[in-house]
Order: sequence, then structure tokens, then C-alpha cells
Amino acid sequence: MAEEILSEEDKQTLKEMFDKSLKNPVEITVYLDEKNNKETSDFARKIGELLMQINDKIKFEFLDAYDPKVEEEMKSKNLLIDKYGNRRGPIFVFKKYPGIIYYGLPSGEEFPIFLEDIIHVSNEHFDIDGATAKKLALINEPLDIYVFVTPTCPYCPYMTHHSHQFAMVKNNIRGIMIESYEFPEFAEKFKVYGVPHIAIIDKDGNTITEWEGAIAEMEIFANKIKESLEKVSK
Amino acid sequence: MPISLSLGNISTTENLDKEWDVIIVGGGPAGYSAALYCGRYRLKTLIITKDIGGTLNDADIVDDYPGLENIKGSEMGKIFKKHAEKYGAKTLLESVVRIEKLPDGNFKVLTNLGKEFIAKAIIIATGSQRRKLGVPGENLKGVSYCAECDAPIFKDKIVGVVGGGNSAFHDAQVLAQHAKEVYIIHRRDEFRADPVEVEEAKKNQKIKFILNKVVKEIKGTEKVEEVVLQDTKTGEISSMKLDGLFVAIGLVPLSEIVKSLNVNMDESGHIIVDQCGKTNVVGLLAAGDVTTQICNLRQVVTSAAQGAVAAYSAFLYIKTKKW
Repeated sequence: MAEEILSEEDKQTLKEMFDKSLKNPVEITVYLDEKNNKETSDFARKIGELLMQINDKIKFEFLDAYDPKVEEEMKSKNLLIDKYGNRRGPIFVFKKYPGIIYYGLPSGEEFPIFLEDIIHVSNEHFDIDGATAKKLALINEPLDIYVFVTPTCPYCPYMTHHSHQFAMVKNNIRGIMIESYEFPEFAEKFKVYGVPHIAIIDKDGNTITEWEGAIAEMEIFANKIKESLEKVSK
Repeated sequence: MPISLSLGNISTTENLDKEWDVIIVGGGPAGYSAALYCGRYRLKTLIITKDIGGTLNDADIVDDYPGLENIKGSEMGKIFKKHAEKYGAKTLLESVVRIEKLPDGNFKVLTNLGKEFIAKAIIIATGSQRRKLGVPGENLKGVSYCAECDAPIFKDKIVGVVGGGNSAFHDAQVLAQHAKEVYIIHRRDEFRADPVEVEEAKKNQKIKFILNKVVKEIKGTEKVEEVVLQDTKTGEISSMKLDGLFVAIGLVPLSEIVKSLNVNMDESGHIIVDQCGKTNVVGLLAAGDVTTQICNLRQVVTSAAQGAVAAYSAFLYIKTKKW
């Protein structure tokens, strides 16, 4: 039985919502770091256990990020960020859409987006309009969108949501939320002093562009990425 | 920092009708209060907003709204939305880019994603945003207008808050949860903030006061490192080392969207409304921080009141066609 991390009322609401909206099973891998982020790794496990308890279409797999096999897997999937500090988890990755990634807990303001991600993935439903899709169609090189957030930032979830939607429709894009509070060295490397802080990273790990502030309009966000890629290629 | 989970608002994607009785632009206290009342008047109501809660999101804890003690600002926005939805109001999370008055008296509303709607009446509740200092170095990293967002990044650091109103004191309290020291920098030695806020801040050992000083410049290579201050009484220049600077020196109204409709505004850009929330444009109402009302007391409770009044006026207008 998972410890009470959500009220009974919220659990009931979630149950009704998931029962109504989940279609296909959703599998999520969580890499845990009980050495350097123990408190949040423990909480990550609780979130997973709770959601599995609420609806059996949701499956979580918990892996120890220091297990050599897991380490290999993380390396091959480009999930290890040892160059940005010694923390390896908790990291949440959706199995079917491995571009939907959370470094740190999807807690606070980010939790509703995590729940939405589950529903979107289960239904293979994209929340993207035609104009944004057209912009995204022109982005074909592999890239990572880093979205640095804090749990209390109410403007951050829009960016997490958009980047995850982009990752759903384009398998060359990874939308990576990074909880600055849980990965302080990572945030420090990117000089994050305000959130949301966005960095667009190319396949070689170079930062193509970065900025501070939310862009609520998905199309403008997609366009900004497209234009910065064009500038670099020129 | 305590970990918390809240369901918040999970947006649903649904096809929205084109025609509405009322479209409300903005989803803060004025907007959602208007939506609640419109719903109760059985008006078909759509709120178009970039975020849920508006400037409530910048507040850590709100404790001056009757009946809701010590509530998180962002949580309050979600509660307002839920209540309005009970009476049928719909929310679209987009931005309004244009409002046009049509020859038949209705309004056409266009969003950033190209959606087009028609409404019999419009309520503008776009609110305000924080005023900038307007000094050199303000674009440096580490200058922030949202303590709620950025405070966790300044764990064990030294930060400043510029301002002397409630927002500045709220910011200082949020920052004190994370930072090592918080300096409230204020141009006078008296505060506009409610006395209760000042008392609480004085009790907090991390919060210190730098009075009769204005920020002249913010210095740093990549991020804030130092601020240059000038004494408002002696003119003396000094400087202090800081890791971050939070600006809370007042608000500017977000009224740009209605300029093309020739709406009357005051010199600061607040939309001029009468006591019923009506503007000089027939069918166009406004409420909350974006307006000239009420006695300059810009609070959740006054914005909510204005929202309710504007909804009532919209209801009467739609029913009687009288303005």
C-alpha cells in the first residue's frame, strides 16, 4: 500500500478520470538514484506504486541507475548526465515514446502534465494544431529540448507539455523536463537563474539556442526551434 | 523543500462552438469571477486565457480573501476555474490576438492558433504584469519578476527584493524559505504594504531592510553580481553584492489588445470603466487590474467583485440591448 501522497478525494478523481480516458497500456521506466537523490527517488517509487494501484493499465518499472546493466542501458539511450553532476535519477521515461522524459519528480505544478502525458500516450492522441505540425515537419535532425523548471513555477508546465507533445509527434525530438531543485549541478551548468529556462541541444551536445521564459503558444515555440536550427545550418 | 502533488487542471481537448454570448479574455480572479456569474445568468461563456490564475500565480500564499485562509495563489486560480466550470463556462488555453467590432454589434475574436469566435459581449480581464525597473543591467540573468517561480534556484544565496508593497513582502517571504539572506530595498522608510506583512517580515531573521535607497544599476558579467544603490536623501552612491534581484515595484496594465477598438484609457493604460464595468464601446466590458477601478486597491477580492459586476452588466446588455 502506497503511503498517502495524494488525498482520498484526489485518488477517486484520478481513478474516474483514468477509467474513462485510458485506452492502451502505458509503460514508464523510472531510473532511481538512491545514493544522491534518495528522498526524491523514494517519492518517485511512491508515485509509480500509487498510479499502478489506481489503474492497472499503467505500469512502472523501477531500475537502479547504478546497476551496471542499467548503467549500460542508460548510456545507450543517452540518459546519463554524469558530465552535469553525479545525479542519475529519478528519471522517468515513457517506453513507447522515449522522447518524453522527466529528470526529477513530476511533482508540484508539473504533476498534471505527467497525468496528461499518460492519457495522451494511452490514446496516441496529439494535442497539436496544424500550423505547429507544419513547423515541426521541417525539423528532422535529432535534438533535445531541455526545459528547466521548479515545482512551484506555474508558467513552466506549458513548456513541459509542449516539448512532450513535440516528442510524441516527432521521434527525432526529445522533450526533457529538468527539475532544477533536484538536479542543481545540471541547472548550474546551464546557468539557470530563472525558470522556465529552455535549451535546444543538437545531436553532438551543442547548445543551439537557449532562453528564459515561457512561450504559451505552441506554434511560436516550434518556430523558434526551427529558426534557430536554420541559423546554425547557415 | 516539501514535495507535493496536486491534480490541478488537466486540460481537455474538445471542439468549441463558434458563437458565444460572452467571451472573457483573461483567466485571473476577475475573469473567472465574471465566468461564474455569466454561467449563473445562463450565458454561454468562453474564457480565453494563456494561463489559469493570472497574477495569482505570482503569489505564494494569499491570506486576504475572505473565507479562504492561507491558500496558495496558483491553487486559488484552479479553484476559481473549477467553480466557473460548474456553471458551464469553458476555458480555451490560447491567447487572443485580435478583437473586432462587427457591423451587427457582435465581436469577432481571433486567437494565436487561428481560431475564430463570435460573441455578443466581451469582458476584458487581462490583468497586469510587473513593472520593470528601467535601469542598466536589468536584462542580466538573475533579475526576476516571479519569486514563486525562481526562489528554489536561489537556495542558500543572497538576494534582493526591490519594492515596498505587498508584492515585495510576499516575494521576500517566499525567498526566505530558500535563500540565506533577503534584502528588501525600498526608496522610502515607510511601506505601502499592509502593516501585517511588514510585521511578519520584521520577525523573519533572514529578511533585512535597506531603506531610502533606489537601484541605479545592476552589474555582472553573465548574471547579477552587484547592485549600485543611491540614497534618496543624501544622493550617496553605494553598492552591494547579490546573487539575484527580484523586482516588485508595481504593475502595468495589459490593455494593448483593445487599443484598436478606441477604448478610453487613462495615462497609464488602464481601461476606463464606469461603476458597472462598462467601457465607452458598446458591448465591451472590463474588470480587474486592467481597469481604473476600485480606488486603486488591486486585490483578488476587488478583481473578483469587478468580474461579477461586469458579468451582470453583460447579462443586462444581452437581454435588453441597452448600454
